[in-house]
Amino acid sequence: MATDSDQDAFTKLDKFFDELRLEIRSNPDLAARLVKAIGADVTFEGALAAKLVNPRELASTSDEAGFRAAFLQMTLAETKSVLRAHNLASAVDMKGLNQDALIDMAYQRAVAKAAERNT
Amino acid sequence: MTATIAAIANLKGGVGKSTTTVMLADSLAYYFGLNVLVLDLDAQANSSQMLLTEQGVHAASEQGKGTHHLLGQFLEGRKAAAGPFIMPNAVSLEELRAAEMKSERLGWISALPAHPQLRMDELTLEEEWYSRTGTPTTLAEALARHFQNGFDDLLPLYDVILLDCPPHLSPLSRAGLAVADVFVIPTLADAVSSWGTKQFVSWVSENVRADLLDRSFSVITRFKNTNYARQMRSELQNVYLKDIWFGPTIPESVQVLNAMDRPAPDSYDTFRGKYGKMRGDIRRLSEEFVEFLHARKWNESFKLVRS
Repeated sequence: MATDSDQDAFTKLDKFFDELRLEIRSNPDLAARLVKAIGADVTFEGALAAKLVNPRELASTSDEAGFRAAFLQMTLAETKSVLRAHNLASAVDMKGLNQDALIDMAYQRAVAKAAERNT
Repeated sequence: MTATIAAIANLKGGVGKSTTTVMLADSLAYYFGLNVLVLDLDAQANSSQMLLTEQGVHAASEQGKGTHHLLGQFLEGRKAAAGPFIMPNAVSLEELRAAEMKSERLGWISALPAHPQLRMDELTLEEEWYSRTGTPTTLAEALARHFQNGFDDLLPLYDVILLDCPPHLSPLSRAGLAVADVFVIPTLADAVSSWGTKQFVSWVSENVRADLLDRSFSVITRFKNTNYARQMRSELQNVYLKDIWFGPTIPESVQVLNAMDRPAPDSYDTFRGKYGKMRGDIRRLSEEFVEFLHARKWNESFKLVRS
């Protein structure tokens, strides 16, 4: 039978997890880190994927098809933004390239960069 | 045209020697339209990686390019000639490439890259030299003569040769210091860097260049604007290194870290894209370095060609 202090504890833990849930909803970066920490296999989509993906890590942990699939969910602008944010291409390099060509370039450069940093 | 040779050096590691080398190369080529050669004497090959990427450094090595070949000539008793070991294109700036495509070259960067093999060759050389009763000093002097001969053919081809020196005083690095006309000394605004820089300046003044202070241009890099850093900068400029010409203070910046990580050997970016909000600081670096060269009568012909 629960005592008053037990009820206080559950109430407090409920509040704590409510806060955590709210934070996870509004902070996808934290959500991704937590998901990764518990080892769950979760695929993020669209703008969220663009925000969370690390192309070098993705190229090292999945094959080209997996890499391509992750980028195909993004718009051209999102793909460009990911490449720029991860220093895989400059605006000059990406000028006039379509989504396919961008993904090809992203994969080749991500593989090469990951190999460089791993030597 | 006779190149001015500038050694980018400090006894202390991690003070931004390679980053300063690349920022100077880019800004001298871009703003002053100079023909710059970056010669990497550091087996860590950081400036070579920043200019060419690691892939590019390996490709250069496979093509028989690199400073270790210059050392190889010395080991084999052959005549020195640095020209064959140079990568003629180490440009990452779109404006320089675009001008080159239209045969309107206005500023260019070439590289004599380093490779980790350089350290192995240096060790072999040291073992051989010392087994014949040679000393570090006689080896440094012999290497300096070898470099001087090897650079003879390069002097008319470049405006500025930047020697990125390793962070210690091995015979190889002393040889680099001995052939330099001027010295660029990057440092940080903290206590250990101040000690290392002061020791470096004292040792080089006593053993390599008695007039080092007149020939030196110091740059405080990765500056964090805190009370402590401001105090250390003030002490460096007004007490420990008060007779040295100080260039601009370069702030700590993620943009510079990114700028030093070239995406691929075939990647190009505009100066604005590469340096972003830091481009004013990088411009001041080259302007003040040129002002220093003019004031010290090393070269009085460099003029701004881009704004």
